[in-house]
Amino acid sequence: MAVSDSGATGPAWQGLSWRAARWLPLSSLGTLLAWLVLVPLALVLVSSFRPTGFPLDPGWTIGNYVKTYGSAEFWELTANTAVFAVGSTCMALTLGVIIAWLVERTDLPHKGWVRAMVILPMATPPVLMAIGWVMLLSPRTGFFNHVLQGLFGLEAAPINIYSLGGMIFVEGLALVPSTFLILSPAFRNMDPSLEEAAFTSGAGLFTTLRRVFLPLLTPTLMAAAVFLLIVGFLVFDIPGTIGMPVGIFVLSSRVVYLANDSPSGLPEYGLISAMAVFFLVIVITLAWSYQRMTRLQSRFVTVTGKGWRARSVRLGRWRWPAFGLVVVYFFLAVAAPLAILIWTSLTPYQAPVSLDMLGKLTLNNHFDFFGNSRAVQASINSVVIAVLAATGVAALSVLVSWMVIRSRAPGRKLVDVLSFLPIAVPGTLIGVGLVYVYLTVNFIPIYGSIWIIMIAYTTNYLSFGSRATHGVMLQLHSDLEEAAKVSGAGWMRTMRRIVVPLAFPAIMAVWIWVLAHCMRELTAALLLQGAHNTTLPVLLWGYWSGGEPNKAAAVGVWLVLAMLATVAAWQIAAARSRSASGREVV
Amino acid sequence: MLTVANLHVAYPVAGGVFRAVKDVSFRVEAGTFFTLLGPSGCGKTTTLRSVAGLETPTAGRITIGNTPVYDGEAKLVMPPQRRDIGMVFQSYAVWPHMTVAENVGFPLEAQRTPAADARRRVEEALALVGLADYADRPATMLSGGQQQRVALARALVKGAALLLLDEPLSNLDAKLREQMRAELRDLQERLHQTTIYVTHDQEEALALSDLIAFMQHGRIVELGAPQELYLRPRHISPARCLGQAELLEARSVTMNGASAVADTPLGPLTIADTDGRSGDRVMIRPEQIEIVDAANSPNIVAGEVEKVTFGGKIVEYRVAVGERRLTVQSASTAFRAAGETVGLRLPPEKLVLLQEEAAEDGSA
Repeated sequence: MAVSDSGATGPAWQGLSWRAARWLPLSSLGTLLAWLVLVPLALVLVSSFRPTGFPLDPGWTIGNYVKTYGSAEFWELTANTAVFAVGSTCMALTLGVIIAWLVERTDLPHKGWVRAMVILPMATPPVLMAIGWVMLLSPRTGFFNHVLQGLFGLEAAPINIYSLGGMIFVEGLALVPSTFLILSPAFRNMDPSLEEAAFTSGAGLFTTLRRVFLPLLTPTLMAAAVFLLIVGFLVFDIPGTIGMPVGIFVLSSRVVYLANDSPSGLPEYGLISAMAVFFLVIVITLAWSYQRMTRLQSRFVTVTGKGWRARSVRLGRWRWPAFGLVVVYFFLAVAAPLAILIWTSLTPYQAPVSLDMLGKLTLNNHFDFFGNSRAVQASINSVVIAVLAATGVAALSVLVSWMVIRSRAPGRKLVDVLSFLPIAVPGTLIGVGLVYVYLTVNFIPIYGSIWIIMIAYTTNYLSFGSRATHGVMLQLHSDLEEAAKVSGAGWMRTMRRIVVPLAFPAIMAVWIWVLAHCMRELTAALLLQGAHNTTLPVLLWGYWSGGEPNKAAAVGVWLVLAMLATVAAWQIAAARSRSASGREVV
Repeated sequence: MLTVANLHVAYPVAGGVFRAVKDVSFRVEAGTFFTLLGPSGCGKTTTLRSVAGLETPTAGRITIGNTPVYDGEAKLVMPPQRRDIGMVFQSYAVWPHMTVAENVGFPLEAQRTPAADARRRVEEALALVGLADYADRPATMLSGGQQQRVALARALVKGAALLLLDEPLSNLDAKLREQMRAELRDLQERLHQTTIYVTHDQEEALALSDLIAFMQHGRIVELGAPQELYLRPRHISPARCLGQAELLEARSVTMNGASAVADTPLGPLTIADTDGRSGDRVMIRPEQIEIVDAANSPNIVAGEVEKVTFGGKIVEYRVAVGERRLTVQSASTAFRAAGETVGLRLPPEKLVLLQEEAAEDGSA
């Protein structure tokens, strides 16, 4: 679209409003995003060159870099992180591809249940999954280890969860739902006529898979792999729960360790920042390639407006074994860890699972949870933060998407990049960055309050939210909006009456997704915790690392229940959005 | 009513600038049904969208009524919502989350018309397009033709000075398209609504318009009433685009007052009236060529029928005249067989002298 350089001068009433209308979106939205995203990152960078690690303290040094990158420990850490990220990506991708293919392209029985079984693990916060698996597989008290020892008469516990392998296993399980959600639309939307065209051209099943099916899916698979790698590099909760207690560190758990439990007693901000810069370089590289892949993906337009029923591959006698695979996954990801959590929450102290304990079961931990004012406060904090952050993300996402996709405002590319950048900024980094920002600009007195956590979450999930709303905005034919304009509606009315109602199902889905993730998010909240902003995951973490697993389990059980409710609501909203968008493609 | 002067629209594209509209000017008087006709990519939709304000031109002036809405020099760009227009989109753009009445009432809502007044006007608009009973239907439960009418009612409801139609019939099937075309014509006769219509379909353009602007490569090549453009085009591209045309190269033209004699591959042909034009092609429409028996008199050539295609109302012949093949159409009342030798009369008063458009500038 041509935008003439009008607006610089002209009749007062026209020129002014035109100029304002042109620059207002960029100036307001851009400033806000820069404040949320760029300022924390800049301060992290500055702090890495300060001797004390505080951005406003005097002096410059490269000592932090020398100390960090000079130590063999750091490179071991990096190697661990890489093994962890690649390992969990491979596991999640393998399971995710198989399950997505089974659900979308075969005659797998009970697909509704299968979907639920694959998506529900999202309701288990990864911390809890990790704690559950520690309870199941720790060498001393792990339930499965006891069972295996009893069955085979082993001397020592056969499996040790406190290992890189254990971390990879649990992270892999935790990533399957996201993988499935990324892949299944691509599997579902692939126009069967593309395959049929190959068949009618004389290609066999194998040739068709190799020459048509896989090449068409490659961009999606690559994008999913990069996305999972990013998560693997950033994630703290699982390596923090399983690896940290026994000294197996990855980059993110090292950052939290240096911030909260450093040997000197004071947070080593200088070292943290120097490490974080390394983090940033790796993850931004990955995020950049992710964006390239997804752009590539959009070139393969596999969706046509025509309705069709995808061809179902007949599984034959493999139907039930395939179904069994999903059940096993569900058991490992949700049922087993949750069961042991419930059990532990009912026992007065940590003990191996046995019939003897049945008599000692008690609801005391649960009563404690509801009777404890800190726990109640933490629940309220969690809900308030989640609701506000979800609303913030939804509102910002709609504005960003509208501006990037619909408007011709100058600077919209910049807004797009700023809103996507947080995907490259791990919770740890946002946490550290916000500490700097609000210790520096202390005239905004939100350090140690729930507001700082809310800002962290809003920033963190903006990239997800804006990508989701980009999708809808692209689907809504621009004629729908232009018809409102030529009908005489201004910007506000067009947004209120046309854009928001039409995008509402998707906005709702974003809202609930963010809500659920805020409820379970640990990392940033841990770094930003003060006396009055404890969230449920932080409380749980405190109990767990403080050696009170039974109390931690009780908190966990209630957290999972709350999460289940939100995830169920999200799925319903998403289903509605799917059917609605099918109808609205004009 | 509408004045477009020296309009230029250019977009940045990879590796440069694409000039979609180049120096387009035209005037549309009140009550006129004005059509922008041309092949896809000729700039007709861009011109319409510039009038609507959905596209910002690079230079020129646009005035609707007495209100300037765009002026490149004064840097004036009035946003679409302040322009006195109604518009129908190719995709209809009927909002799926609203009922029929809500869709149609939206322009009134946007200008804050009192509810009672608005309801009456929505009813009138719906009655006008024959959807009086559909007011409370959800917009998604309509057929393509009905959505089309909703879009039309929405564009008409506030009585805007200018109605803009962007290929409104192109998404309908052939039968429905014909029906809607007739209804549009009726509506136009009743309302005398000033209308700008964009289409690539020459039949639609001929049947509906008071004036047609034929566009190509971002310029208006020729502007005129439908009969004029069909029967006496000045340029090759509109001649071809508006219907089948036989174009005979004129090696030389000897002017003789108003009439002229052109030396063509069929021999010398007399053109009764050149309108003072010069040119190097002689055009005639296949249905204007008469099949006669007598040969060897002025403007009659002998040929042999090669192929006969029976098309119901008309019969189409391919006739070999020397090296040339001519297409001739005639009513199926008289019938010639393949192999027959016939005389073809090219009536002097029907022959048109025309030229390639390259040199001519598009404005009218």
